[in-house]
Amino acid sequence: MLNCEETGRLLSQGMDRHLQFWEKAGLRIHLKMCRKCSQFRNYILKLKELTQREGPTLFEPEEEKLSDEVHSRILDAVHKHISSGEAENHSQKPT
Amino acid sequence: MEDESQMLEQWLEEHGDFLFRHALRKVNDPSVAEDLVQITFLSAWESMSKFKTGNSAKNWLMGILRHKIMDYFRRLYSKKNHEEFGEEVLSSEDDHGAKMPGAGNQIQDPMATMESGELRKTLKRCVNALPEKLRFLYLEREMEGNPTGDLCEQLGITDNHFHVLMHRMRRQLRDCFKKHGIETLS
Repeated sequence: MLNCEETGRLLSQGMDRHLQFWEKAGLRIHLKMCRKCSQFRNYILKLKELTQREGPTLFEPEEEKLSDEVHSRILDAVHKHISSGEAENHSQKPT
Repeated sequence: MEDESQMLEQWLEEHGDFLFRHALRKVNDPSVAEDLVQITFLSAWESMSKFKTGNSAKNWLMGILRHKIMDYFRRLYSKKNHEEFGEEVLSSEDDHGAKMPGAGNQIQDPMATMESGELRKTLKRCVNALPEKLRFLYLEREMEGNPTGDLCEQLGITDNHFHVLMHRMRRQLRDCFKKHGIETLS
C-alpha cells in the first residue's frame, strides 16, 4: 500500500515518465481514499495545462536589449580573441 | 580573416539582442545572459570554418547558445549541494501525514477562479522566484515538453535526480501560489 509521500512522488513522476501498470494501480487505490493526494494530482495536472497555455507568452523579456556598453564589451572581447589568434597564426607561418 | 571578423560584427548587430533575450529567458539574470552571449560569439569565431554561408547565421548562433546554456546548467547540477538534501527531507513532510477524515482541513477558497491576468502575474512571479535549477527545468520540461531522457543526458543528471527536482519544483510552486492566495488552479 502506498503512503502519501510515495504517492506524491509517483504522481509527479507520472508527468515525466510512463508509469508501470502496478504503479498506476497503487495510485488509483490510494487516490480513492485520500483527498489530499487527489488534490495534489489535480494541481499538477492544472499546473501543466496552465503552463502550456500561458507559458510561451509569459516569459519573454520582450524589450530587453544588449546595452551599448555590453555590445562594445563583446566586440572588444571578440577582437582581442581574434587578434591573439591571428598573432599565433602569424608566428606559425613558414618563412 | 577581416571578412570573417566583419561578419561576426554584423551578426552581433543583427542577432545580439535576440540571443540575449533567449539567454535571459532561460537564466533570468542579465549578467549571466550577457556572459553567455559573449561566450557564444567567441565560440562562433573559433568554429567559423564550420559555418556554411547560405545557412541561417541566427539558427547557427542559437545552436551554440543553447549548448552554452546547457553547459552552464550542467555545471550547476553537478555541484554537490548539501542544502538540497536537507530541503528534501524537510519538505517531504509538508503535505503527507494523516489522511483527513470527513471534511478535512481544506481551506474553502471562494475566489478559486482568479482573473487570468492576476493568475498570469502570479505564475510569472512564482516561477521567477524558483531557484534557477528548478526554474530551468520548469521551462525546459513543463513548458517546452523536452523529453526527460534528453534533458537528463544534456544536464548530466540521473533520472532519479531529475524526478526529485521536478517534484520539488512542483511543490515549491504550489507553496508560492498558496502564499499569493491561490488555493486551487483552474
